[in-house]
Amino acid sequence: MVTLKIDGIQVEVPKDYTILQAAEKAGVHIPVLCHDARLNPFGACRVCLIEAVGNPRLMTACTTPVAPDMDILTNTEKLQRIRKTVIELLLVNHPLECPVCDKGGECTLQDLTYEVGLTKVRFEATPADTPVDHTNPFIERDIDRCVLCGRCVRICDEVVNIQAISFINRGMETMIGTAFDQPWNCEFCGQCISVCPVGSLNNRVYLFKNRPWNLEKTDSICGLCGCGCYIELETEGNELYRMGEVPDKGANHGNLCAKGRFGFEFVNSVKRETSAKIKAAGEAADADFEQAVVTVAEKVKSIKAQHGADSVAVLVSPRLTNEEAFLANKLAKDVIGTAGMYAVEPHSSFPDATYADIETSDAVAVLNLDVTEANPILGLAVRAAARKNEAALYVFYPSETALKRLVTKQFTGNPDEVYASMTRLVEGQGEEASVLEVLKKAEKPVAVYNPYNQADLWFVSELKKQIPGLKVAAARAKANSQGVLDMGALDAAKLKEGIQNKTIKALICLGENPSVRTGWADLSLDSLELLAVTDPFMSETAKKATVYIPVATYAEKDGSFTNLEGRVQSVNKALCKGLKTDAEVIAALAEKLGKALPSCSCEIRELIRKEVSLYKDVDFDGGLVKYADAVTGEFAKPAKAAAGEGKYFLYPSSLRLHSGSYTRWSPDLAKVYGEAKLEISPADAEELGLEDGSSVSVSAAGITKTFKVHVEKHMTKGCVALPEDYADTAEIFGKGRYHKVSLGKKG
Amino acid sequence: MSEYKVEQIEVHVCMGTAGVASGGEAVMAALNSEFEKRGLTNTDVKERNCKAKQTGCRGLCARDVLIDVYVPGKGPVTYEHVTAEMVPSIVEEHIVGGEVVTKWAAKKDYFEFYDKQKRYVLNDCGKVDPDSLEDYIAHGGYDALKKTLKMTSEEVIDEVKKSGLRGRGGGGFPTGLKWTFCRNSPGDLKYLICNADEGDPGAFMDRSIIEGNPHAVIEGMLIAAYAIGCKEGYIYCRAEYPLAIKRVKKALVDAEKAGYLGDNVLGSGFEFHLKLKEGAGAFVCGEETALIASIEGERGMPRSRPPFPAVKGLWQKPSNVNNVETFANLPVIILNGADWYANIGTEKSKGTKIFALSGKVKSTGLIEVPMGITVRELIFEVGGGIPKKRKFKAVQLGGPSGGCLTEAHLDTKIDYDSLIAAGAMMGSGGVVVLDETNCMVNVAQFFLTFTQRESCGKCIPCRVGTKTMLDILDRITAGKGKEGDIERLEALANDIKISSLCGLGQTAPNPILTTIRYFRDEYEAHIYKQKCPARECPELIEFVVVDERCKKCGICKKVCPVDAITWEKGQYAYIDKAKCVKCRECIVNCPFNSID
Repeated sequence: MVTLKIDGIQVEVPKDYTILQAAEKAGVHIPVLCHDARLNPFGACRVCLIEAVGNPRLMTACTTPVAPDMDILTNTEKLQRIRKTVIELLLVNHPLECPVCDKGGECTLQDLTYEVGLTKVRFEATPADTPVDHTNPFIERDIDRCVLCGRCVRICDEVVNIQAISFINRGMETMIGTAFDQPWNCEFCGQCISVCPVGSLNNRVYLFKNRPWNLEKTDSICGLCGCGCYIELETEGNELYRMGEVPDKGANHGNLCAKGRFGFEFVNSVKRETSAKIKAAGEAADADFEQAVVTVAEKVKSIKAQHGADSVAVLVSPRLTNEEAFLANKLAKDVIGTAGMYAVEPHSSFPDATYADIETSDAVAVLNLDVTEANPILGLAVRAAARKNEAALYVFYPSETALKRLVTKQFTGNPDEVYASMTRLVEGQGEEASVLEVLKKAEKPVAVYNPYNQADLWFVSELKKQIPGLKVAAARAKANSQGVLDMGALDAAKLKEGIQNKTIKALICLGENPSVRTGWADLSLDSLELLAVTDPFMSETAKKATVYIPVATYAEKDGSFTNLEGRVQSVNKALCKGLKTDAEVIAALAEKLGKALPSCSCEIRELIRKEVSLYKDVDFDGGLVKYADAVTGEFAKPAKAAAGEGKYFLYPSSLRLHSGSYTRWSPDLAKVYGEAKLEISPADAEELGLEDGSSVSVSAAGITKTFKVHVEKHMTKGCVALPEDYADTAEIFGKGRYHKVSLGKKG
Repeated sequence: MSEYKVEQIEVHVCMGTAGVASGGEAVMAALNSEFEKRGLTNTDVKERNCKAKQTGCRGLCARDVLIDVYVPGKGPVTYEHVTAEMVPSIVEEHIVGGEVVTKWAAKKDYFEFYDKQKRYVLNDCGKVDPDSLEDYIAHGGYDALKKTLKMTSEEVIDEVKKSGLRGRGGGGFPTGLKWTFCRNSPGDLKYLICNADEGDPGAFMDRSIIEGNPHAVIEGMLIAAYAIGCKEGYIYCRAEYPLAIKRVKKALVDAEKAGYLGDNVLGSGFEFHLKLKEGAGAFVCGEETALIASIEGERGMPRSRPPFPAVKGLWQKPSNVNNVETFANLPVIILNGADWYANIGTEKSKGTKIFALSGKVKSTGLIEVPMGITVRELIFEVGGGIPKKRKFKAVQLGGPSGGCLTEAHLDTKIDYDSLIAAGAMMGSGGVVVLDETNCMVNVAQFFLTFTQRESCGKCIPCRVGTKTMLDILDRITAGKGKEGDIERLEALANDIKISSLCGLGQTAPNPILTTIRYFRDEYEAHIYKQKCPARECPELIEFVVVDERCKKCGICKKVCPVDAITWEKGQYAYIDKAKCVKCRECIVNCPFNSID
């Protein structure tokens, strides 16, 4: 610890603190412009210059470490003058278009101009007038407003590790740009927007839609993937306008991904259903909520009376809150009298490694997962380990991934080769033996894997056995994938079996969309006497429903999600679209079935504490659930991965821009990635005469489907990939995860 | 320093950049073919065994191509302005006939250039073949390294500390002390970096050293690496110095082959690997943290200090950066001893300093003088004074980072501290002499144009501030200056000086501040009287012939490129303003200063 004085206030801080951090602790405000706590100190803007008594040189508070007995002055006349000059210089060429600038009201330059009391510029001002750049689908770029603080460049490098942009040119010509002025080749995460202090980088989804001072902010958790990012829902009335990042709260440190930041539009979608529908003689007709619930209740009663309680099943989506899932389980067990609800989520994996574990790890293995695409924020933790902690990083995946810039070694190849490579890893053979050694010797080894691929679990459990200290992270797909399991969801395989052999006659499907889920897409739901579906949208499954009830999204309800770390976090209602929540649907249904259930999340939360032992003492605002084991069960060593006779290996890819059915209703995401595309290497594409946008037929396991082609230079030759969770692809992957397929050029 | 002795007839041809540019290669070829033709390549007969040898710059670039004819047993004879056409006569009369061609041989004024110089660091420049390791060794090369390897590293540092050597890159930080910082930083891997990114306009000291004697720099680096404990090193040379790069590359290969570099230097167990890194054309990369970023493959932008490179430098490892000239001083210090070295110079500035002398001075070129020489001696004795009988006005020391000194400062001693006290700085060693026809506002504008263009753009004061100052200077020289501009410039300059991130921004206002300090009247004349007293700013010149001064010589008519001047013998000249393009040819050429 070091003791120093800041503006006369004595403060004791750790010796690696900067003067800026010490000032914060002392409660002294030092203005900053280029500084961001998530980034390495930069010292470019000179706004935070301070004086140390006895030192003639001015120092930047953001970069200078504290030293014992420093006597720091932060607001002398000289410093006031310098700050004013610096801001004045920025205004010489800055277009003063604050009234129409999207940043107006939350602009650091505006605030600093006010703070330093600048009312007149001494120098001849000539505002620049360069056309605005719209080449990036999500990010509007106005270089004239740029103050060159470099935050965008630094976050893209230090945190995201994509290095899409940099400073180019010199002197007054200096600007943020790309190599050879190419369009931004990036992940569209928009992290650059989030750190831009001025209106130079703007969120195109939000652009010109509202003014920041109108927006009300509600803390919540992103409802898309399993990362569990802390966000602010920025609303006016019942419209969601923007996702706000909260750097000092949540495990994501304020970082968001493309779908998290730009993919919220489905909440406001005009395509959302507003009325329940009841199908009679194959025709769906609008009905009111009461009518719909009564219809479901009556059907359930009659089917139960005729075929017994086990002929009725409840299936929940991993997008439901813990409270709703708990309630659904009560409906299934206590009200209807079955063994419990089901969820299409794997049951053998449990949270183990936290983001902090990964970020501070010294050796990370990523097993058969494109982590930065599947779970971008989990991917950032892996990147942080390799980048900031200089961890050894090994990636096993068929194609090159975005981690290639950071890997110690990547093991690519067709799925069979990747499996062989992972086998050598756990068996300590070949080149992979050295990787095993590194993991064994590491202080905090971590493995990240895909829990949805049953075959991969053998590698995980074997590694766990060999490396006692190994922590593993299961890349869960949906916001509450883990929570619904914790609330008691049963393995949905049994449900599928029941539907197939027609012992299940009624299915209450809460938010789930099995018609596009891998392994379920080809399951016929026609034999069901009752298919009751709740969903914000008329999903593929909802279209088949006997009774459909439109429901609220995560932005419209209170509750909690449990993320892939096992962290329970509160979801808060930010707006109301006049629709019932799943909890309300369940409570109403229970009532009609003769049993009262609460629908208020606080009441349910109390019940959870009482009845779910894992959650007995957990803090619903960020507490971690303690699981006994990371993986449970016995797993067989996988044989050859791919089946089939075709020339090309097909495997399921992950998509950064989509996380399932919701995001496809967000027009800006859909504009960039709408339909499922087949990724293929340039060499294979050339051989087949294919180019971006060509159509190709894919034949696998007796199914032939046509897709558009995306030529991707990172693809391994001989391999092609399709995303999961699209109806057509779900059908193929329902037959198995890996195929040897034949491709045929169409048209 | 020993005299250069030859065993055979040697003709040294200056093949530094200036030598090559003046036709050195043709002279070299002419010599070789002449020797061949006359059978003067007989290795058995001393008198008929002639060798043409390329050497580096010997200083007086204004007289290139310079050649020295060495005949065994006789002192060298220097010829100036040699062309290939002159070679047969020189060979015929001097080498074969034994008679010096006096009409071409250097005269008294040539030797006056060297009278006040003390060429220790540059001693071998112009004598050894820069492409030949053997030649370097034959002249005592690497003897200092051998001596060093017999010392402990502490002894080497002590020796350098005792010598009083200060960094020649401009800062003047005591070299030995700097080394101890890096040496005392924990870590096995430490880097030694040679800053050869000389970018000041009018500076060519480092260039000439590397081009003329690359092994001296390598030897100096070896000494430093041994003292500090560095295993790896880089020479960061700007890409605009192709000849220097070529010679350093060859020198590195030769030195490694001969065991001077590598895992086990001369079998001593000392390990040092040295690589060349070419810059990518940014002046700011001469700033050590930007230079380090550039070696790492990042954009050359300065980083905040602390942490200092000695603690966290290249790739976060302790690193020591010194300038070319500093390294080139080391073999001299080690061989002759710290006491000998500390005897040269002033109390706080020891040894010699190399300057690149340019501008309005007769003998432009590269000079090495002992610290403590006065500005007057430098300009009027070494440099030969101002040409065209014009009046000395000022001297700009330290390039774009430095400041100007006036006639009142001519007796200022040239050492680190005296120059700073006078408002200039040693800088890397650029000396630009200005005469009465130079406008001081224009001088400031020239340097600001350079610095604002070369600003890396990272910090606001430097990026926008230098441009804003330049805009004001542009306005003043264009006759559009406003009341308060001088005060605005001073206020902004002072703020930029104390708030910029690196040395570039911190010193960029110096030319403005010193020109205002010493020539405020010129600024005022521009702004308030719409006049450029030195008649250099075209917008502020009337272009009228003042009859009282006109001697009716008609030179102005001859030089006017657009026929705007009418003149008849015995008549005053007259300038037709409608035709005049304000090129200033008449003003520059009028011997009587009669055009206003």
